[in-house]
Amino acid sequence: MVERSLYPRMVGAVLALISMFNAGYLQLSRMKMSDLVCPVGGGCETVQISPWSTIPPGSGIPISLIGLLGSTLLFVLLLRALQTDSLGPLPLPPTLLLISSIGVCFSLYLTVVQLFVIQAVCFWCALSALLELGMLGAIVLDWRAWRRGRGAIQTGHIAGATPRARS
Amino acid sequence: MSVQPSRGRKVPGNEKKTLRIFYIGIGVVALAGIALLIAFAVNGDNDTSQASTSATPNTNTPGESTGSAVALPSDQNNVDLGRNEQGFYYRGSIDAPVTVIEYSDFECPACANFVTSSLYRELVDNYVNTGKVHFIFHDFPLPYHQATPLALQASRCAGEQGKFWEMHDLLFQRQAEWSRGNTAERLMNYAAQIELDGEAFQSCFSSGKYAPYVDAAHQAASAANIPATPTFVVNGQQVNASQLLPAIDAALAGQ
Repeated sequence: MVERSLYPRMVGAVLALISMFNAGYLQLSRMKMSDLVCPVGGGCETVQISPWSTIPPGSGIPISLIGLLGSTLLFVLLLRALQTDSLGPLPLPPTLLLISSIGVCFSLYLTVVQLFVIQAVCFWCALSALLELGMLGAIVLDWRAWRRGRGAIQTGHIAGATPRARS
Repeated sequence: MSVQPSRGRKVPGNEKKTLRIFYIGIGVVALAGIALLIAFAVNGDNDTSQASTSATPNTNTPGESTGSAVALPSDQNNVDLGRNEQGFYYRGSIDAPVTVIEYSDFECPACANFVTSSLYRELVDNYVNTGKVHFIFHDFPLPYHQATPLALQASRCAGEQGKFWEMHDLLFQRQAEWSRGNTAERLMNYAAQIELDGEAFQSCFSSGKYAPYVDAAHQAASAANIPATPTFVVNGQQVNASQLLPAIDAALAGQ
């Protein structure tokens, strides 16, 4: 039997949940067009109000909404991953890795925009970037373990291992 | 704690227990998060009854001649402009069926978002200019906005020359510029842009005659239990920007 720890997926799910609420708060604030509470610094409003807070910049989809949808997707998939390795024909570890990597790239882009274009840093956006990084770390650990187990099964190196069932 | 690479596996007892604890923990965190978001949402919408007094703030405003309303020349749309007895600038007929007070801070990006939005244009074009709304701009200078006091004084000095609203619009449009440094210099440039008498403006601005107004305006807004900027009071009912036009429509329908 090939066994792997569930803890990376649990950690990822908790971070995704916090990320959901973080993005939800930003989105709610945006919809209310009200002041943001900015615990550190004062750049939250500046970033939130800037044209860069939407994709494409100016009048597109709010980034907070994209973040909310992305973290919700990750949260649901990570919860699902606590029960199974696949979703239909889709193996979950690489799927999670792909989505999480896109999220980190997106966060990197936003951080660069904040630092060099808007020249203001939003606490909630920085928190979101850290959460994305944390999720990616947990997901990479899980993916590596999944790959090792998969390779072992395919080469028959682990006694008693059976090929992964498709769901 | 482990996962096996297949579905339908038998879950060991200790793993089941850990998962159960985890799900309970996730549930608690989720509930706490939802409660916080609801609290935030409600906070923006509450106290409508408390805000009813804010429609007629009765605070002395140092630097202004209190107790005397001042009518300014009407704008190109023949809309009434002026300063009310409390010293706040207004636009739109004082006989309009609905009075809207905007509590705002010149350095607040959400306030700039409102003024530069289509919502504001719709308010001015369809409600103020048509005699339906008497719109009052009530400063609410927030302490952590360090450039606001200068902007507020500049708007008052522009008001002395009958161009409060021109300066108001320009300050919000250029907020990202003057709020980041060289504030006084930039404000002088704005005065020139809206064709104020530069000497008179500089004399007014450098005198600091409206500086005491900053604290007075803040206290008046705080006393009215205004939770954030921008906040609007529509015939005594406190609403946020997204609720503004529906609230005005409801007030008009109730006339």
